[in-house]
Amino acid sequence: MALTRRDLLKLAGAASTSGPLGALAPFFRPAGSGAAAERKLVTCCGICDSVCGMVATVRDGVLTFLEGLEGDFSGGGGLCGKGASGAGQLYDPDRLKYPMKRTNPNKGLEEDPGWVRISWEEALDTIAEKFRAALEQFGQESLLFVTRPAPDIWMRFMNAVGVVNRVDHLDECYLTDRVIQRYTTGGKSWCNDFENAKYILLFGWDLLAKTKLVYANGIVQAKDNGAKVVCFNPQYSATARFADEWYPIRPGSDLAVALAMINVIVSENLFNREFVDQYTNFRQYESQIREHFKRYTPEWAAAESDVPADAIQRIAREFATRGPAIAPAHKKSLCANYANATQLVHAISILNLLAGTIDRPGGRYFARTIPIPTIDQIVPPPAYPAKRGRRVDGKDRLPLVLEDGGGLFSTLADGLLNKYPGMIQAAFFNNYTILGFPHPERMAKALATIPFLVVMDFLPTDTALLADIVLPSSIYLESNDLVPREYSAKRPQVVVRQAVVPAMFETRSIGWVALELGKRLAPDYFKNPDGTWISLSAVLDEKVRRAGLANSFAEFREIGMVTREQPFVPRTTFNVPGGKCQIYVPQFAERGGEPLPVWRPKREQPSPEYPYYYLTFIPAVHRRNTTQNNRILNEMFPTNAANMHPLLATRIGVKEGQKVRIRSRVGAIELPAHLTETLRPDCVLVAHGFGHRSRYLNTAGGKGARDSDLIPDQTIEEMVAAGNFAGAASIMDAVVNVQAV
Amino acid sequence: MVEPGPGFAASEPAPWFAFLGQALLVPETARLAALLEELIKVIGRPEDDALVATFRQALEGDPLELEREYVRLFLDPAGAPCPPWQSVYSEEPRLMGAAHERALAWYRAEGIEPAGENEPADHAGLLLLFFSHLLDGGAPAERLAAFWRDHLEWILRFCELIESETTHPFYRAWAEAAARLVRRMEPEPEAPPPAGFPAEQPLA
Repeated sequence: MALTRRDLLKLAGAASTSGPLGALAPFFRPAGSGAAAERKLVTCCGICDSVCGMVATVRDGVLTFLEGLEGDFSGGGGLCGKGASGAGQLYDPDRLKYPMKRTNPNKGLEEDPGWVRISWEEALDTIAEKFRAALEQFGQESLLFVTRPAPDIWMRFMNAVGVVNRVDHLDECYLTDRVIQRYTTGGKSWCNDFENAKYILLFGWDLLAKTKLVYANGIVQAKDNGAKVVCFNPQYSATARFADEWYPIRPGSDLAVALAMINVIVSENLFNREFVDQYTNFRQYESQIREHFKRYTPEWAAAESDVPADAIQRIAREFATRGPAIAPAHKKSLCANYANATQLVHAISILNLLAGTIDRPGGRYFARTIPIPTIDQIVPPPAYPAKRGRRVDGKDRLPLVLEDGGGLFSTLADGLLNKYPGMIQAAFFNNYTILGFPHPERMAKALATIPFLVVMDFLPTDTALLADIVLPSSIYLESNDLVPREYSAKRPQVVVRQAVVPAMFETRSIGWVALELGKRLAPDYFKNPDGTWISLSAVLDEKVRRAGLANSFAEFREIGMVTREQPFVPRTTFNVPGGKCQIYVPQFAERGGEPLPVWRPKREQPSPEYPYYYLTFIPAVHRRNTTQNNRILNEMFPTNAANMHPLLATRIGVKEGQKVRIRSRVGAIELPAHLTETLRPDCVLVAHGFGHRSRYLNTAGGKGARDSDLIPDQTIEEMVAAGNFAGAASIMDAVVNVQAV
Repeated sequence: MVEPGPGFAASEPAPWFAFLGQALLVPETARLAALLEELIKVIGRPEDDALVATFRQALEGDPLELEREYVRLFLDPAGAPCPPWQSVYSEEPRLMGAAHERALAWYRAEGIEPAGENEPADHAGLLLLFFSHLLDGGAPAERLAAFWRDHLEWILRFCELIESETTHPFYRAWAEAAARLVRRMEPEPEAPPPAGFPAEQPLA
């Protein structure tokens, strides 16, 4: 409709009988060309790290539908429930919308922060001023960043400022596997060639319910191709139901089974001789290896694990001879659950090496990728300042973790409260709620000791309640990036991530915040050689060009996806000291660990006071603690319960739905009992991600209980004493008492 | 409850709708005070209007308190109790839902669009301001009634929620004034089906 002169006057209020009151400007503007046509845009999911390709339908500026992207290696043309419900996150009414600052200086989960809205300018200026003051007065060690090491411009910012204290949940989920793989096979890999495997051995990992489509599709394909699947899990999980054999293993004893299997394979010389001789250091350390594993007999392992000795022996023989065989080690499912996870991941890595399937068909392989240059390669920065200072998480006591560059989630509260009280003067939390930490109540107390806390997030988390400044974060559907395939990448593939709608309200990306804070705190690192400020879009264009994807990001956005056809050529040298995979790892011995995995029990053992094992899981339709407020997903899995076997329920006199109190040595929660025969009778199982305190989170607020209230956090001394040299967070290492309320 | 005087929405409700709409879009005390003075100028006879007096008194309080209450009610990072977007009050609460699309169509029919393309069009402030524009422009009764049914009825629920959540005099007065004004503009019920139309039979 054409705009009349009256309308123009009206925008300014001149023609209104209400005078300036009725002025439509600045709230309205002349209409454009009307409703925009429906568009289909290629982009990538961002709910979990397998980042499946998808097609977004956008009608008149509103996302209306998400579906899988044909030809994409990750999703295989499909989406999981979480991915398909992305609009629920984008249009969540509870999203953080504008920067805010606290006006009540008293901090605590029960305090009203007294928020007022501020401009981005004021928020960034205040943060820069506080961070600068902390740096000048207390040095680099006084800043804490709880954030992923991405995007690259955010890393540039932290490097430019000289941040020494950075931790993130990847340290909880991936760290142990990362440290072990670096020295055994040459690097962390997400790729598992299930489709070509004939024998799949799963220690705990419920990969079907974990709902990374790439894995779920892979194992279904493997079964179709005749693979045998064996599963050790205290719970009769979705994957256990799918497996050929399931063993309800005693929690935390997977290591015993793995060690005994290695013993069988080595002592019976069943290993893949060609691979082991050519590509591992087995022969160099043969006598030590043979001698070391002798002690771990199947009978011994059976007593530790409740898995029969003859089954361990048979499975070991089958694994070695009926391959290609694979024992995938995923992240949290294994690498962080118990204090002995460091040893377990090493043992699993050895099993794969003995099967001879590292970077071979049917095994764990390294992603073939199109290299995408980093911002530091495109605009080289001045030399970064040396990082000096004490580590609040104590990771300097674990040399292998220190060299990894990550940090320790599970020791952070102890560092803040006991080891270095007052050291951290300012902190930045990017998309982390305290629900993700072991013992969140203690973490909340620890955060309250930090004089200046910034929280950037897309939802009002419990961490935001403790912040001085809250910054609203845009989400993946509002962002631009290049996403290489890392989970299924026998051939290189890159998919575009593009903002399918403009970022809602005043939300911004963490990359933009890095640039703006960088301009204020370390300007020399955020300039082009000609002295102008770095432009995020210009850097993205250059990445596209240098990666050979297109001439500009705009052009790549139209193309959507690039796949390079090339044959899969197995590696013959590995990125490990000496170029060969290492079964025996001398570097572990040199840096505070053991060169070969040794048996260590899990940290917490049942006792008369706490007689039951405590297990947690993430439901298939949720992503950690970030999706419970998504209305669509919440409808499918709205709250948690205390899952227990009917035998246990009878023992403690509890019926279905009756409220029980679960108590560990650090806390207690109350939940309704759910009786299920799919669990060992000595375990209690609770879903993670519930128990959000914000009562106004429209969907998730007040539903369920925080599973992590029962999980003890750790001290660095405990980790060292436990031989936990690769930093496992022990986030399922708890025993509990259960009583009817 | 404050009894409105004759100045309240006497013969010209448009300035009231404009005031209430803007008050929800710009929570700055100084600006609100200026808008209130504009309102008084337009409606006349403010001296005997108790609601105007309540607004005036509320705006004389601590500006920071007002700002804090605005954020707490509508934008709180700990989760806001009274989200000001209509789609949140629909059967499937969300942003950018059907109410956003309908509001956008209404605005476009008048040749305008919300200035922020990345904010929902069904914000209570925008809807009230737009309704004042329809009133100002002499929109026919059936058009006003259609907009009321599409976009003002829910404001009554919104006002109840605000009244139950706040003790701040400004927002209590806002909710009271908005509820009265919206109720006052309530159209006659739509005509029943014509005679002879078969009545709906209950299922056996």
